[in-house]
Amino acid sequence: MTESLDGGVPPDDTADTGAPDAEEAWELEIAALLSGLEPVDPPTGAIASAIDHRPLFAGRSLLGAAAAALVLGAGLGFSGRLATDVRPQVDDMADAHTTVEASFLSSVVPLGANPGADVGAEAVWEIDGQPVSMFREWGAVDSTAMADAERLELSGYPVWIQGDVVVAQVGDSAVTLVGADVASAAAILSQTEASEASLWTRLLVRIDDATAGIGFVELD
Amino acid sequence: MALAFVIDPAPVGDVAAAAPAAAPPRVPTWEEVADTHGRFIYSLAYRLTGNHHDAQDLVQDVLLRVRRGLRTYKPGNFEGWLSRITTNAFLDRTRAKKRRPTQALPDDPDRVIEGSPGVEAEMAQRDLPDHLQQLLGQLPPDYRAPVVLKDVLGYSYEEIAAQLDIPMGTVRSRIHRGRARLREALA
Repeated sequence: MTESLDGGVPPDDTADTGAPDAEEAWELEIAALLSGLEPVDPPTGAIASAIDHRPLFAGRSLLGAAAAALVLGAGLGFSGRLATDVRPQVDDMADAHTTVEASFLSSVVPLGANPGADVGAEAVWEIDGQPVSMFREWGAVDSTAMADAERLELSGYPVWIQGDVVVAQVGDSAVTLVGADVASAAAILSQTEASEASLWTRLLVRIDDATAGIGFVELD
Repeated sequence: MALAFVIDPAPVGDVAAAAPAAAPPRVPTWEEVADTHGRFIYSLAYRLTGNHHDAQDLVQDVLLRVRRGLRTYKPGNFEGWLSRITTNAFLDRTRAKKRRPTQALPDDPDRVIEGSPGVEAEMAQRDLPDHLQQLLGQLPPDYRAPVVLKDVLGYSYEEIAAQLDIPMGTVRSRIHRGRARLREALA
């Protein structure tokens, strides 16, 4: 992920020279054409929208953001759930994994067509350049739904591994990871708390940490 | 292009010498940046991404980075700082997309841009900007960014090298190659 931190280029690209010292006439013609491109006005409201749609933590304290996230979690149906059988919809999660774009902010989006349904939330991020998605549903994994999966223990949690999907029982929740190898899954699970408040707080801390380090380069 | 962004600038010259200790320039707030420089950021974002939807996403990304960066920003070439953030955010996004397993990998650096048959006949003057934008969008991002910074925004090679954190020779090379591809496509 370090490559993307500041938009830099791979080291071997620094030898990418070969332009003549002086610009040729045709180059100046191309440059003149491009210089004639006018500034582009944003659509009405686009800038305001970019600010209004900022993530929950923007402009607030982390503590306040965590509280807001908990409210969001409650709205999505995560709060106060007691153990029920969970049959992770692995195919749906895999679909979401491939369609929700990883970004430095990570994404917290409802899964499925009905955002109010008890289907969990997704966090997407990258580990060693590989996108990983995490879903959480409250309840106990129905092991009969994971009959074809390999049963292991990772970071102290029982897990079921099926292809590139890892389902773990973390406290009162079923955590499904898509795109993580076993080592990555173990690392994620070792940082995943059983309590939902801690999960959201950790998620926000991770987002805040991520935005602190990505893409911004000091000029001084 | 060196536009220093300073709100309540300190006086200059003799007046400054005679004035009592001037307050340090105030760093703008995030909302002020959006208000004052939103069009600049958007325009650059559009030239880099080639469409309004991606440009808007990029602007949001940039504004969030700006928000964080303002905490430590020291007044200087503010638009240069913004263009640096915008360009790097764009390059980050393109690289992230390339890493996604479902994404195509269209950025073969040796790929030749395809020009439209009979392009001269079609390219009435009013269509030229759109056509140029389309061709820009076909350049690999690592070529597109310096070309936009140089030829659309007018930054110097030195400024671009600093913004992209790459050697000036690489900047010159990428701009040269980017222009060459545009020339081929326009021929």
